[in-house]
Amino acid sequence: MSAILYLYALVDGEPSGPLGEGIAGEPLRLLPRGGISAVTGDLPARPNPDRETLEQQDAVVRRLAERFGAILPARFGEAFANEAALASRLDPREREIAEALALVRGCVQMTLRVFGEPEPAPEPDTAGGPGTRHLAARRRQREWAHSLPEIDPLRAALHPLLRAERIERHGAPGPLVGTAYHLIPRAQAGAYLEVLESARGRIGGRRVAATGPWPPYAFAPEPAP
Amino acid sequence: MSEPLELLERSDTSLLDTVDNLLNKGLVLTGEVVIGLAGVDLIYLRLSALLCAADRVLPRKAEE
Repeated sequence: MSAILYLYALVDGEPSGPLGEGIAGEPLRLLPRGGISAVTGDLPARPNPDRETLEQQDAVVRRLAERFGAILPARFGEAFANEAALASRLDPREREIAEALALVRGCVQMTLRVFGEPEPAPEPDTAGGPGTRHLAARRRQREWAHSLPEIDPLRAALHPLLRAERIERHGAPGPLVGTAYHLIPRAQAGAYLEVLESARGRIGGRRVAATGPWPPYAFAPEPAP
Repeated sequence: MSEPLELLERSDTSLLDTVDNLLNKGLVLTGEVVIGLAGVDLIYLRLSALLCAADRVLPRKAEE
């Protein structure tokens, strides 16, 4: 069994306090690479995604989020053979990562889940030939998967507080219509909840549940689809 | 019918958010992490967590 370099997060700047330990009690290491640093730990193998380990990693990332002004948490299970392998993945994406760090600096994520009756999906266009209609339908489907008209009045009220927003419709049957991930300045978490409270009557009979503040998981770059 | 707004501040106990954040979100540098974690068990875990949490977070008061 060969050891792995486990990635917890990418950060920049200096930590405001000790990094502490990782999910297996291993000391965390800061590996600088250009203007970015990786927070890593040495593990015997890639960890299993059981509940206890997930909760441990969540605790590690939330502690790191308090130590750095900007953090991009890694998805669970990001492991590398060694420092060279990590660097070879980081280097080509350095600009993208630096931009993402700039976006999340000083910010936290609020997660807003929407429950109730979904709006019907938009009607298909009937204009154009079969090819045009097919492409238009695909685009509409993609846009619909990232929209939540059910809470537009609420989003309008929250808009002055938002630095960024990411929306996902749930798609499957059940009470959950979708989730809006909101990136807001750290100091605005209280204001965010107050606005939600005052605007709750504007979305008909639908219900919302907000959780947070979280590290900005939903605003970390993913591979291109 | 107006339902009370549920506000869960710093919900440390929310498995739903932990699963959503760590398995579904976050920085991805290698394709392997997506493939390695996209097993059926995980998808099932995530969906059941979502559905359970929907019921737990928002009890259906109107039906009681």
